Amino acid sequence: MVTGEAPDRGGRYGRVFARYEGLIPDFPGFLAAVARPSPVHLRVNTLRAEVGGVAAALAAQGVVTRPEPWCPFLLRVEGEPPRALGATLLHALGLIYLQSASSAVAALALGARPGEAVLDLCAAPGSKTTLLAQAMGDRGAVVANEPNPRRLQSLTANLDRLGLTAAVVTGYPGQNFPLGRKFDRVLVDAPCSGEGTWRGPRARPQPPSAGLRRHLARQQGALLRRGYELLAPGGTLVYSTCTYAPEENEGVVGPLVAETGARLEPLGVELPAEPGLTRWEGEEFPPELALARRLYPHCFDSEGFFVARLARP
Amino acid sequence: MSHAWLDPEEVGRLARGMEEWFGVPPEVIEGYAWVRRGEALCALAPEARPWAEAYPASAVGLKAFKEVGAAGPKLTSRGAQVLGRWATRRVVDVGEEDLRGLVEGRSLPWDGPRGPVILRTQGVAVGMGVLRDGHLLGQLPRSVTEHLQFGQRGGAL
Repeated sequence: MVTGEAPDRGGRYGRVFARYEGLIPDFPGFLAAVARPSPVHLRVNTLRAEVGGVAAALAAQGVVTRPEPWCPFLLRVEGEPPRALGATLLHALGLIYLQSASSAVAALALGARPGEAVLDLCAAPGSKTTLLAQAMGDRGAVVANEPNPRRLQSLTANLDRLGLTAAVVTGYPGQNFPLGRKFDRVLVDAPCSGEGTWRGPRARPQPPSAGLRRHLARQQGALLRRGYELLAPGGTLVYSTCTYAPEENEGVVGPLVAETGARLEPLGVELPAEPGLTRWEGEEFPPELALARRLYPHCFDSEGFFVARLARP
Repeated sequence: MSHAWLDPEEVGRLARGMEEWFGVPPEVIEGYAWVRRGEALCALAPEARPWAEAYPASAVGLKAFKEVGAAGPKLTSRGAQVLGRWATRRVVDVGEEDLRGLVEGRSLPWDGPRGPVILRTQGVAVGMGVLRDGHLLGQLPRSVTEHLQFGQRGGAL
């Protein structure tokens, strides 16, 4: 738990997040946390390096790290790094990947195992894709899909940098990804309003209009539906966003659960997080949505995230 | 981009070449599915092959070799970073100062038979170099070096 500071309800973040005052527990603590920058995390590419060796190499450069207890190869950087970690040889060689803790949670929740076929429907820039391949020991298939050509470049550059051999990169609009072959696991980390990334003094929050929120929710629903259609019976799907907006989270997962019988499951990653909502502004969601998790920066010091794990019966 | 799978004979030649030149056990190379995409030979986890065949993929696996002219496949720096851990021959260990020089485009006086070598620092394969006329030259790709800044203290890594 992050200790709270004097909240500023009338400040910039107080205005931006006012709609969530009745939704987020300890709202003053939340405002105090989002006013601080998110801590830097880096993931050790255990396919090619050992955690201890990387930590020692960083320590020799004055970068103090400690592993997260729920993910030993994810290192939290203590304080301000003395140099840009993205400009180190460790990074250039693909031995580390800068990744927020919340992003790692979403990928780990999928539970990918060696030899499986996994689809990452919205893959760029590849932070979760590369973690999935790492969790699979680079054995199996990780189909990394990204329709945006510019974002596709960053995805392939990161796959290349980490030296992965299990990845196959495709460029379909996610909601039109071809049906036919079924996957053991599917990750739908959907494009969203990005509210969870708004932290610290340098963030430039751009609250979405009601129209944009509706558009995002429609797109997210289409992506989730296609991801579920591509899932083999007995398979697992994770839906995640980096936003607090219920319309983009429970409001997207709820209808799929109600219509298909998809079963919500615990994430399997023990974290200080809040349960998913079962109602919001007069709308009721299936009660199982309480198994989803909302990551808030004052409870889990990283980006704000929503993560739901679904099983296909 | 069109791609074609290497047949077992081609994979065998690749494996023998890596064994003769760098001492990499043949089973390392034979453990991947290999696909030719343009000038690149890409290593793919064998379980991923049906998925690469099912979709028009824009990238598959790791670009481990480049085919240039008649000289045969040339190990890329990315390929060296992944496959280099099994190399037992033609591996050059360089310290931080030497690596810094190679990254900055300088050549270093270095004895040894001419030809490509795998550069290693602090036990980690970092990429390709070449020995020529008593000098070692770095062949690390710009994608590796362009943003690189060495720290004021501590090791190169």
